[in-house]
Formats: sequence, C-alpha cells, structure tokens
Amino acid sequence: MKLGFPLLLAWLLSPMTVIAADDLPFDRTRINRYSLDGVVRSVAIRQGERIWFGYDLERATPFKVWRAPGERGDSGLKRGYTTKSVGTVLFEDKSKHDWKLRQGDSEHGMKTRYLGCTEGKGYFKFSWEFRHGSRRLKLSERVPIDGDRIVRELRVEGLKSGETLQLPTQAWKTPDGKSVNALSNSKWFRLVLP
Amino acid sequence: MKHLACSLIFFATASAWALDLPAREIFSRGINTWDGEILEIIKGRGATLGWYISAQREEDVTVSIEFTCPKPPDQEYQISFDGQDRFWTVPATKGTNWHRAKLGTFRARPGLPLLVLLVPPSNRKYEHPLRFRRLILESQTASNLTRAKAPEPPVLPDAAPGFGKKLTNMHPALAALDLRDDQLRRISGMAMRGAGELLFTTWKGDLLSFDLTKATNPPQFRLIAQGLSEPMGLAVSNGRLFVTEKNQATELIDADGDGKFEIYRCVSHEWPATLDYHEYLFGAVVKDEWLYFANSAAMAIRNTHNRQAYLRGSIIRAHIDTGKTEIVAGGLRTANGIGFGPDGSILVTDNQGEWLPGNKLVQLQPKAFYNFRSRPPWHPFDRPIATPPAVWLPHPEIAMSPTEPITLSKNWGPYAGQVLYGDATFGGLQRVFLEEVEGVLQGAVFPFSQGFRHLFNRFAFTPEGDLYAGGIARGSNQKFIADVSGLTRIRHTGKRVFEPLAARLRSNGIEIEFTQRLAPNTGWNPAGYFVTQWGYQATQTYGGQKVRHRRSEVRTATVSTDRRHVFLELPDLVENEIFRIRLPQSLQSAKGDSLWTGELWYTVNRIPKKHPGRIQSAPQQAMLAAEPFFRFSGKDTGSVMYQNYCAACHTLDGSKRIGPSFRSLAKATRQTFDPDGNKHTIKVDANYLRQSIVEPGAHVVEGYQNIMPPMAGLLRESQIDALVNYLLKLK
Repeated sequence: MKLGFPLLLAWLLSPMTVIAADDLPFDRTRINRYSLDGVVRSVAIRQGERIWFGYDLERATPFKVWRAPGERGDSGLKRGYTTKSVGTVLFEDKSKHDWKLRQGDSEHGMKTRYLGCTEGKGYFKFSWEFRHGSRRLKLSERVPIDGDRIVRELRVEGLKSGETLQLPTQAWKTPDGKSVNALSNSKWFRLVLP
Repeated sequence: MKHLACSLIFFATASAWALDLPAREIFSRGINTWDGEILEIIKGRGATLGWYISAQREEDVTVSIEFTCPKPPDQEYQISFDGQDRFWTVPATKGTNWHRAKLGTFRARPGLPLLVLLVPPSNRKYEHPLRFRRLILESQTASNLTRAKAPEPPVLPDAAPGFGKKLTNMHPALAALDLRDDQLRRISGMAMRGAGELLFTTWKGDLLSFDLTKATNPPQFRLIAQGLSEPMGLAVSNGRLFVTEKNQATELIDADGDGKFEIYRCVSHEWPATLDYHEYLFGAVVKDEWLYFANSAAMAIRNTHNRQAYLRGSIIRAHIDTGKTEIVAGGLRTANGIGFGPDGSILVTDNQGEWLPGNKLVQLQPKAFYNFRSRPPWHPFDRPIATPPAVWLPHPEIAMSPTEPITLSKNWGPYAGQVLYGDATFGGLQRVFLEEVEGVLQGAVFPFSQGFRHLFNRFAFTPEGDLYAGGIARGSNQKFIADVSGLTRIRHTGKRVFEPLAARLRSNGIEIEFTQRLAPNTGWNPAGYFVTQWGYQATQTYGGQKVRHRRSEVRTATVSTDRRHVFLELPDLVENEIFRIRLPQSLQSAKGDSLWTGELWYTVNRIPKKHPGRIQSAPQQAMLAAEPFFRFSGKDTGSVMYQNYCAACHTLDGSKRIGPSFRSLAKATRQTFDPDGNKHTIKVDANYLRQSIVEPGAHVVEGYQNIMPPMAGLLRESQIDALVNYLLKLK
C-alpha cells in the first residue's frame, strides 16, 4: 500500500511516544519519593538549584539537608528504587526525637499520621496529623522550591490557648537568627538553617 | 504455630515400639554431605529430608531426633508429620556422643502413607553442620508403624501442547492487538476511568491515560502523573484514583481540575516496612469504600536472618475517606494480584515458594491465614491449619508467577463468569471455574491461551468486553523486559472452540462439562482419562512437596444424554488433594472439532455429601478403541521437564531471557562465578548440568543473576536424569 504525502507527513509527525503534560507535578529531578538514606518512608525535595531536603514522613521532620555537587541539581541523588544523598551535608538530625505537645508544665508524645503532599506553584507542601487522646493537631510544612536560602515554613492548627508544639530539633532559626523551640499559634513560621 | 521447648535427653530409654527413620533413607540431601550414615546439614533449600510411613490404626506418635550440633543455627527446624507442623529450636550439644531431642507428638491416621519431613531453616548456609543420624518414632501399639516406600510419581503419557505440555498458541477464539510505543512500559496497575479511558501505572512510577475512543496504533499515551513510588496497583472508584505504592496507599487528587494531580494524599501507611526490594503493595480494588491490597513479604532476608517486618504478607484494607486501616487476612507471600470474583467476592493470587508448595487462587475471607510465615513473632492470624486456597495452581504445570485474577464479562461467550489470571513468568492466560461445595469455594484451572508477546500482570475490561492486558517482567535482561512488557487488547471473537469448560465435584467423582457435544459413542471409555492426584506439604524452605502423588483409578465414565458432560467415577476421592485430569487428543466434538486443550486441575477442599454423579453402562460400541488413548514412550520426558521447569527463563534458540539460552549447550564453555565471586571457566557436561539444577548458585553464568531456585526438592533423580540427557542432546 502506498501512502499519500499528507498521510505520510501526518504519520511522521504523529507522536510515537508519550504526550507529556506541561509542568506535571512531582518531577523526579525536583522531588523524589523513593526511600532516601535508609529511611523507609521519606521524600527528597530540591530547593533552588543544589539544596536538597530529606524528610522523614513518619517523624514529620527533615532529617537531612545537603548541597549537591557540581552544577546539576539532580546530581544530589544516587538513584535507584532506593536513593542515597550525594553531596555536602548541611544539616542532619539523627536524634529520632518527635514532636511534643506542651500543656503548661507537661509534655506529651503524640501519634503521627502522614496525610500527604502537594506540589503547588513555587512550593512543596506536606501535611501531618498529630493525635494525643482525643486531641488532633494538623501540621503543614512548606518548602519554597526556588528559595534563595535554606528555608522551610511551618504552621500548626488546633492548638489551644497556652499550648505549644515542641519541635524535634532546635537547629533551625528564624530569618533574623532567633532560636525556635516551639510553634505557639496558627501563623506560618519561617525557619532557616543558619 | 506451636513452638517446641526442647527436651534434651542423653540417650533416653527407647520405647518398646519404635520405628527408625535413618538419615540414609531421605529423598534428597541437596548440597549437604554424607559422613557414612550421618548427614551433615548446612543448608535447607534444595534438600528433602523425608520418609513415608504407614499406620494400621490411629494413635499418638512421638518423634525424636538423634543429632549433634555444637553450634546450633539461629533459626528453627520444621518437623512435619502428615501435614502437622512444629518448630524445633536446636540446642547446643557437647562432645561427640549422640543426643536425642523430642520434636513433638503427632496423631497418626491409618490408611494412606504419611509423609514425615525434617526441614532445615531458610536459604542460608550454616558454617557449623547439624550432624543427623535418624528420627525415632515411638508409639504404644506393636508394629503399628512401618516405613513405606516413597510412592513413585506416575509415569505420564506422551505430551503435546495443551495435553501435558504448556500451550504454545493463542486460543482460537481470541484476537490480540499489541499497543506499543517506543518506551519501556512495565505495566503495574490498570483501571478504566469512565467508559472510554484506560489508565495504567508503570513500575517506574508514571500514570498514563489512553483514550480508547481515539485509539491509534502506535498508541498515544498521555502522561498524567509521575513520581510514584513503585506502584503495583491502581483502582478508580467514583472518579477517584487510588494507587498502591511501595509503602503507602495513595489517592491522586486534581483539586483545581486542570487535569494534573498536584496532591498525593496518603490514605494509609499503617504497617511496618523495610528497605527490602520485594516489599510491595500488590493490587488495588475498592469495595464498599475500602481499598484492598496485599503487602508482600521481603525476600532478600531469606539468605540471612529471615525475619519479616511484622504484618508482612497481609491483605490490608484502608477506608478511602478516613484512612482507617485493618488487617483482613494473613499468610500471603507474593500476592501479586487482587481482583473481583463472581458475586463481588475478592480473589487473590499468590506465588509458590516458602510455605507455598504451589501457586494459589484464594478467596479473601476475614481473618483467614493462608500459610506463609517466616519467623516469630507470628502474624496475629497465624494458625496450624491454614485456610485452603479455592484452587491450587500447580507449579510449574499451570502457573509460575500468577498475577491479577479477573472475572470474564458477559461478552465472553461460554467463559463468561469464569476467572482468568495472567502470569509474569509462565505467560499467557489461564482460566478458572469456581463452584461452592458444602459452603467452601473450590474448582478447576484450565490452560486457556499462550501465544501473546507480553507477560500479563494487570487487566481491565471495557464495557464492550475488550480486555486490556498489561505486561511486566523483572531481571537484568533489559531487552527481554522491553520485549515482554506493554499493553495488549484482547478480544473474544465468539469463534466455536471445543474444550473442557467446567468441572464439578460430585460425591463419587468429577463431572466435566464441554463447550460442545461429544461425537456419538465417544467419551465412555474410562481408559480415555488419565488421572493423577496428590496432596501438598508446605515447607519453610522454597518448594514444598507433592504428597502421595499417584495415578487415580477411573472406574467408569458416563456421558450425559446431551453429550455435553462426562462423569468420571473416582473411588479414591480425598479432601485436600488435587486431581489432574488428561483427556485424549483423539476426542472429538459432534461437529468434528478436535480439542483445543485436554487438561484440568481440580482442587478438592470438600467432597459433597449427597450429590453423586450419575453412573450408566456404556453402549457396547462406545467401549471400543481403535488405538490407545495415551502412549507412554517416555521419549519426551526430558522435553516436558524442560518445558515445565526451564522454558520460562531459558530459550533453545539462543535468545536471552532471565537465564542463559540452552542452545548448543553440550560441551559449550561457560564463564561462571561461584558464591565467593571467583571466576571459573567450565565445560558443560552432565555433572555441571546436574549441579546447576540441584544447586544453581554454585556456578552462575557471567552476566546473569543468581535467582534460580534449586530444583532438587522438586524433582526426582529420574526426572533430573531425563532433563540432563535432554539438555545434552540439544543442537
């Protein structure tokens, strides 16, 4: 059978492969949802060109921040069905400390439930739920994708007056360098790595 | 599972009535070695330390072992007596004197030969052997117990595709169209979204859409989500999408309606997990607002400590709104397939291996335990007597790596309402007929079709009855993986085909239903049915055992008045056994059609109490046979062994699959690696082939992975001989 030219041209131009949607979320060069550095349930996110965050989803906190070597930001991961961080470690939390609910003088451990993640315009967001008895708190954490410094933003919902949510680590500071031990209201807190 | 507290007795007083089971009389030693009468055990996998005994009357029997072991293994031995399992923690012994330990007391039943098995732990080698001389069986009644000869497996008739051999061609009533583009698509989940859109996930983590209303070939697949973590199941429920990823059940949400999924909502991850490569969440179905899936067992640990994360091997359900998570059933190993069965039940397939002597199709039941376990702590549903499968899928006769089961739609002619499953190694499609007997589901599996390019893993039906099937493969041979992975559309054409359609158990035999009427005066001769039967013994090492594998008597064959059914009278019906029934190729339909296939496997969970089959005397002329129904030349034993056990991974034409090709094998030279990584140059001869069958890891051919299971526990010596001879004669 002979193909007429228009038909042949159409056939040649027809996409043989996947039609990729533009700007599809969860691009692996920025966000990697395979296990990272031996933490079974974890996510790695690239901020800017070379900074990577590694989140422990069961502890609801970043456990590592590192700078990728070279120019290519995605060189910060050794890839496979499990991944390893590659580069210079800037922060690492091996403490296994969890979030705590402080009520007056008493502190309570809480059951942590990961709710999921969202990629929005310019940021990546995680959500968790904390439970203590019948109490439920919701923690949101945003990582600006194009941040010019190592930054994360946190917000807790459900705290009562006089209650605070104690962070697992005090290594992160406010942008003006103040220490942050706890979240005390439902505003967004911006934290940076000194 | 009962755990033994070991009582160590230094040469305890022997009972007056004791029966010895000497080490020297076991079925196969695997890679373990003999020191005279002593077996020095360093590894369990590949060995069968078994004996048959028989009892004249029912009574309790105490089993003890005579052994020495200065440095015991850190894993337990399994002792099995007629299917009753116990574990034995080996104590350290001092000196060179023999020690005796009680392994357990079991109930012996009279009649059938009973299998006694000693099963060393896991796949790991132990540097310090357990020296084993004999088991001692003690009973109260003189001469009640005797050693019995191991039943020789029946000599099978000569085979042809569909008649004792795997099919090679596509079912005559099917038409298949491969839908491939230039990308590798290992399809891991599949579902319809509406009537015209097929969605599928790939192992690497993409979600693709295929508009069936604009189907072109080459197909245009649209990437609609990415970055998923090894998804192995996909379900659509009321327009909502659920994916079972490696460690998490996830809902993909497009909140702003722009066609992109920007929210990956965690429905649940409320179970322990490790980094083991084989821990997946297999399958996904939504029923009554609950998402069902299986969390598979780890595999890399089998060569080391053999400890699973708690609750692995479960069927889990998570509420799609609240995330509430429940363990529904336990004891699954590699349950790579969940689907709806007839009447909305949920069916699950599982792959043979440790504690699974065969592949299975099970009906999901709350709190069921399907027999896979590893080491304590046991699954909360673990129990000594496992829930039986609805249908055993004997390995490798009719399945090797069964995948998703799917119930055939009404457009599939006589097969509507039956169940198909795919296979990621055996290939093709197999067909299952299910029936309920005394409240228990059971049935038969039939070979249905081969002849497809792809190894089918997941399925979806369109409302019109087109079956979309997605292929997958694993291993290191990327060309092979790319070749057998992809999408296929399968259509039932309605063409007339003559084959066994169903099999129903009666109190005194099995009734086989055919798709067409038999030719007049055929089907009546019982010699025209070659029937074998066996039970299964599960073992903690890979493989398991066929028990009492024997030829069955077919006393009579009765053809129904409409000539669509044949009732076979089987006097040796036994519950918890499998019947394999071969039909002769000479059988024809009234329209002169030959059989497409002539084989089925029926699982007897329950024998109906008051439902006998009708027995009728055969017309005189119907008993005449111009020539034998079956031939027993034995000439193709080797080729059948190759087809059944080897062909899925080793070709004969030089092309690479999971393992090296067998083309021009005899006297060829192979570059191999031993377990320590040392390189060897080996000339292929009978000794090398035998070792490769018994202990495949001893010399792994360069460029391939050490993933072949040892076959010594599965094959008799005569079968290994036949296979080796066949391989050496290959051109």
